[in-house]
Amino acid sequence: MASLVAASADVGSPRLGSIAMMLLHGPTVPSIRRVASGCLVALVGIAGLAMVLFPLQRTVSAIAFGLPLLLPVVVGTAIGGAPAAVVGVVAGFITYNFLFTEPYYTFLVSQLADVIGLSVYVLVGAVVAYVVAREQRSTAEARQREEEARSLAALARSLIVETGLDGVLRTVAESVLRRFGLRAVGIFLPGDDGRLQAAVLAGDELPNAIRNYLDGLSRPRRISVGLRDGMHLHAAPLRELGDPEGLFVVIGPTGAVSARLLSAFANLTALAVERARLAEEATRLHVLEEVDRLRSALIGAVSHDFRTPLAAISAAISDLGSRHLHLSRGDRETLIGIIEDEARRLDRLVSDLLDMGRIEGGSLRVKPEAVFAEDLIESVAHQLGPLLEGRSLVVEVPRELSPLRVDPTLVEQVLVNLVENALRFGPEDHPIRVEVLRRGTWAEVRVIDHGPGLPEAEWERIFDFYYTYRTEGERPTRTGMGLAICRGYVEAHGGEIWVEASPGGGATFAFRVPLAPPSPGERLAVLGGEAEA
Amino acid sequence: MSPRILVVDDEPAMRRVLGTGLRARGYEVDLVGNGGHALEVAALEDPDVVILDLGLPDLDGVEVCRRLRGWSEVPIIVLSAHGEEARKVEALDEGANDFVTKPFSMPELLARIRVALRYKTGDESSEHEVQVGRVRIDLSALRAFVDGEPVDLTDTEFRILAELARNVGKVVTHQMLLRAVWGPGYQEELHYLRVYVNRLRKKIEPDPASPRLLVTVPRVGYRLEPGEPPD
Repeated sequence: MASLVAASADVGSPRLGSIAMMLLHGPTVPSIRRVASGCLVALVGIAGLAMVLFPLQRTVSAIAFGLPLLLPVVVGTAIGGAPAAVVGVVAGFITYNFLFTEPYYTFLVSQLADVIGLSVYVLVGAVVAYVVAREQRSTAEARQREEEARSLAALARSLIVETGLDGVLRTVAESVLRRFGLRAVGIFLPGDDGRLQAAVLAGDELPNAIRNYLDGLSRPRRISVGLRDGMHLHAAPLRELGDPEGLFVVIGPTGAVSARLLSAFANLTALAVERARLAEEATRLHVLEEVDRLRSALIGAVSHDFRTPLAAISAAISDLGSRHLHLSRGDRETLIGIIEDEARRLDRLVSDLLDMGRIEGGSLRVKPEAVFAEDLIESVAHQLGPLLEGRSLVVEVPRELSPLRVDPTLVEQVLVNLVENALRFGPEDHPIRVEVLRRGTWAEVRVIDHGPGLPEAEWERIFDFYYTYRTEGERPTRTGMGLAICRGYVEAHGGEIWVEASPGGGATFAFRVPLAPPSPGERLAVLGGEAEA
Repeated sequence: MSPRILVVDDEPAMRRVLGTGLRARGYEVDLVGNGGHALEVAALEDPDVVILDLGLPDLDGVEVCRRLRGWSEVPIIVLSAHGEEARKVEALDEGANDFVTKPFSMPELLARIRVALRYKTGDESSEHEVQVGRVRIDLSALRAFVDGEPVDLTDTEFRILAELARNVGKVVTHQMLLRAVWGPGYQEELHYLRVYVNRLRKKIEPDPASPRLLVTVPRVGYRLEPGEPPD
């Protein structure tokens, strides 16, 4: 009989064990606390029942005890799931066998009826445990799926708001990281050479070995690897229009993310990436269109600027050349003067365009040398010559200022443009001031007028290529290139240029260019009185 | 009294050239730099011709045309730049008489001024007869004569010729002609116009292949040339 008992116990345990194993490895396991309380309920229930039923040990047929002893097992299983079922069935079996079957207080069984009773007990316990656990598992699965659906929906929602590729990738990586308590999330996209590169990483730094391995992958593929410290690495390819293009990588505790969910995230990411790329493409096209539009507007403006002086020249020449017409000496001089002025304007326009082309094309060469600010300003005054007639230019330069380290041709041009502007907009009875200040290793040059000034909204735009600020009812007589060229030249020196309001009204244009590091010889020259010039 | 010309151009150089050239030829000249000022001076000085640049800083040249036409029949010659074709046609539709494209020569502009002075818009409507070269158009009898001989014109041909004759020397845009001859709803039927103008030329031009009277103003319309009188 002993062998029979052993056999029946052997039949039950492995079966329960395999169920328990299967349940333990399922997607969810009841929490430790629930399992513990389930086991406790089963054990306490069995102990209590044993005490209540013990007096009936010899009066009631042994087989009758099986049924009451199932009760704590079922209740315990309902609470603690499969582990509680195993514990309950084992404890119940022991109690049943030890206390209620003959011979008492041994694990031997003498009656065939008791063998049947014990076997049925274990079988019913096992079936109950299986059914309850399956029910629990499907509930848990449903809950998990709902959770997955919810997290996918949440992610999809946040992706709708994001438009830039970087923003999309960061949103995906961070929300996945947070939602599943992962250690690291990375999204890899092919670089220019077609190899995978980390486009975004969230959470901990990836260990170098992993990163190198992933960076070097030539084709994205599904990966699932256990790591040393109980962590697991999963990777799923991102499929865009069918071709795997990138890799979605997560590192986290084993079982934290299911493969199915990972694939879903990977697909969602692929869609978002595709969308972001299309959006970027659309933006790029839009920018190109805008550039195109600006370019034709520019060509229109430039050709207008060319044609206007040409029209005046052509009309003046046809008058001068007319045989029937007897022009007075004064008229002839006026017409010739117009032709000269307009020809100069055309020449200026051409050189402005060439300068602008050099600045935009990046082929501007700065040949810096040490130049005294006074010399620059004097040369500017000379160049402006006739424009300065009847106007006054006040210059203030600190006596001990080191020479500037600049390309004199370029900075002279900047000053010519700024002073010319100041003369044009400043009232005739006000002097134009040019101040030079020392600002550390920089010289700040300020051209101050007391004209109508500029609204603050224009302060930035006024330096744009072909932008002209139009005061009401008046058209600027020059092209909108002067200030753009100034900015190009100053920036080529590593400096900056800006406009501000003059104290007491008007506009102040200021720019910074580097000072030459003082060398003993140059210092002497300055102190020796050359700055008096 | 010498004719008075109002020049409206925002370019000082252009104003000076036109002022010098026109005064040297004996015209009285007013020079203004914007549209608002132009309307004022036109009202005060009652010029005989207005030379109007389309690109003004304050009011659009087309708008100046329209406002001027609100109360004045003064001939308007528009100065336009290449690339302003659409606005030039707009200005003509708004009542401008003619246009000169920049850059132009003074003789070109002077020729237009003389035509404008000769056929001041106000005078034409009262005339029953228009003589251009050897063609005489009798607007009340609805007949045309070449060298005194009656020409056999269809109704449509005559209506085109009459419309041009009523505006002799003035550019008549395609739209104006289509509207006047065929009525509204035919604004796009440019080819009708071409066909009829060609037939008309065969009947009145000495050499229809190189028309002298009924000239094409490319992409704008047609003009009946008054013929250059001795200078």
